[in-house]
Amino acid sequence: MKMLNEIIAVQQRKSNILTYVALFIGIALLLISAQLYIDTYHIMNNKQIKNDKYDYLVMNKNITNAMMGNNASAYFTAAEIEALKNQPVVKKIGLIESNHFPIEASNFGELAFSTQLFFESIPAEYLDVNTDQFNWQLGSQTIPVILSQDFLNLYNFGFALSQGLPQMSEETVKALSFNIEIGQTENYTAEVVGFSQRYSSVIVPQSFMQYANAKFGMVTTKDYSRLVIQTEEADNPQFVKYIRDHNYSTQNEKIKWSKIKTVVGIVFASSSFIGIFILALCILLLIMYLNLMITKAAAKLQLLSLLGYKTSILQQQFTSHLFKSFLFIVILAFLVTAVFNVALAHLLAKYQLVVSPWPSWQIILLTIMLPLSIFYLFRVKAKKIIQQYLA
Amino acid sequence: MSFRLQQLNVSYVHTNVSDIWHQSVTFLSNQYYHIRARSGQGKTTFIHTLYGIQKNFTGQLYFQDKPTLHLTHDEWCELRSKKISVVFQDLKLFTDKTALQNLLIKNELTNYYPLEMIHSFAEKLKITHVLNRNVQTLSFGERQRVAIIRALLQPFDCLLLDEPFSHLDNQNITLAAALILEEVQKRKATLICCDLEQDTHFPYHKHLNL
Repeated sequence: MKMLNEIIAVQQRKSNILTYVALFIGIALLLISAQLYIDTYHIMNNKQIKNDKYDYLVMNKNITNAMMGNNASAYFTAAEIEALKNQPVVKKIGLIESNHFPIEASNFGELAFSTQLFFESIPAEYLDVNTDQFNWQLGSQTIPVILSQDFLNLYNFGFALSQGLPQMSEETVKALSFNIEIGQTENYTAEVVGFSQRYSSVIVPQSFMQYANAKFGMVTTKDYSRLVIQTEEADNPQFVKYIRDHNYSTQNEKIKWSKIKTVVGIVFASSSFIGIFILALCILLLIMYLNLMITKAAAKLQLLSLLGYKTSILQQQFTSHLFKSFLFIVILAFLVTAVFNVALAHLLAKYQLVVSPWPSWQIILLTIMLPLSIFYLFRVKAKKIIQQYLA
Repeated sequence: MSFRLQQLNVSYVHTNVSDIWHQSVTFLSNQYYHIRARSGQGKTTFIHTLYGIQKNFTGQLYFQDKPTLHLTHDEWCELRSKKISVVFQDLKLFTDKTALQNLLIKNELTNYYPLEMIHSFAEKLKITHVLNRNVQTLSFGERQRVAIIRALLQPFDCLLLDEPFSHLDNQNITLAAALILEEVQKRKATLICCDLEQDTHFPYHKHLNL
């Protein structure tokens, strides 16, 4: 359309260069902020030593002075459990059941002791001990038990040393067995089959707990004061806030990143916002420029439409060069972001922090979507403005 | 069949007796119509109505058996580049462009004739020497001939002429009319020519009073 170009000569004004510079700054700021946010998130999620895809949080209510003497208030209600289940980051919830009957553990011989004890049972899938010995059938006289690693440490380093007692390895403890008397009537032999790092408790198979609670339990209601939550993101800021707000307590170690995540989120959100703000202003300026150009050419456009030129052809005269400039700037901003990310990856590698030097897919998607949506916006706007003059 | 009018009327045109306004008229293909009207009787209004510029009318206007009332702007543009051509009374040229540019802007849209053909038209109408001059430096007669050639650089089923020869001498009128007739015959198109007086520029099939 050589002649059409000559008739509607749309000149780039010098003041437009400023708009394009601002546009570049806005888009680059947006892309770099987004990339940095993604990098940071990546680093933080990698820093936690994860054996597993999931984290397990053991949760109970905080005991306050007001709750003392009222044990019932330490239990989770069905509604509270349901509300927890509905939290977006909560994958599954395991209910930890405790004994409602008296337990007396004792041993004779060299390591003679006698003590009152408690049991808890946890659904097998939430356990961090892999053993096939951990099951109990009705009629069996032996109860397999999983002990907390903490208990063994307390004994070995706190108790045994000071009392002149022998220290015990995990293997030694596994070789020992002791007597259990429950409900003051039935006797069992308990054998330690493993040690848990996740639970500070004495864990028995659920089948045994259900049997014993049914037979010797002093209360019939089933209440749970401790839960275990399976989650992919234990330090999710919203979730941590939820825990705090409801006065629940859990392993603080696992949720310590949440505060940093929140701060980082705010910082990058605000710089992204500034980027979007500049971008929006520039788009507004470009649309005003579009409006001005079309208005100046209004008489010519009317004549061209009398000759048979459709709005779609005329509109291109105004939008195509604007769009080309925009596309150029977006690509430039993307390249700057990519180079920035490579430099960042190199720098962070010195601190043993691993970041991919390639731009993330979100940034690539943004780089593609931005010109497409602007292309569409310019076309629609230009058509609308032209139609005003041709109606 | 090209245009069909049913009780067509425009509120601000006042005539007592008319073959067009408030009548049912059909314009057939390959037929040449002369429409005679004195000044102020709505000649230009009539042309503008047929060309889709003036839309405030009562009655019905059909083009090739389709009502034109609901045609969109772009659909009118389509008709103007493929089906209907026009020579306006006020010519509607780009006055800040050269005569040739004014011709090319039409031909670029339609791709109807090669450049040599445009030059041969210019030669026939004796305006070759002004082709590269700005339109504002041309006499009205020269401009009229540019507008006539421009109207021929596209396919059409109907050609509308609004006082096309008003500033031409008899010799130039003969040349221009011959060229127009030749092009209309090639396309087997309808010719509608509006003029002030009775004329014999074309072998008219019908004379109508506006």
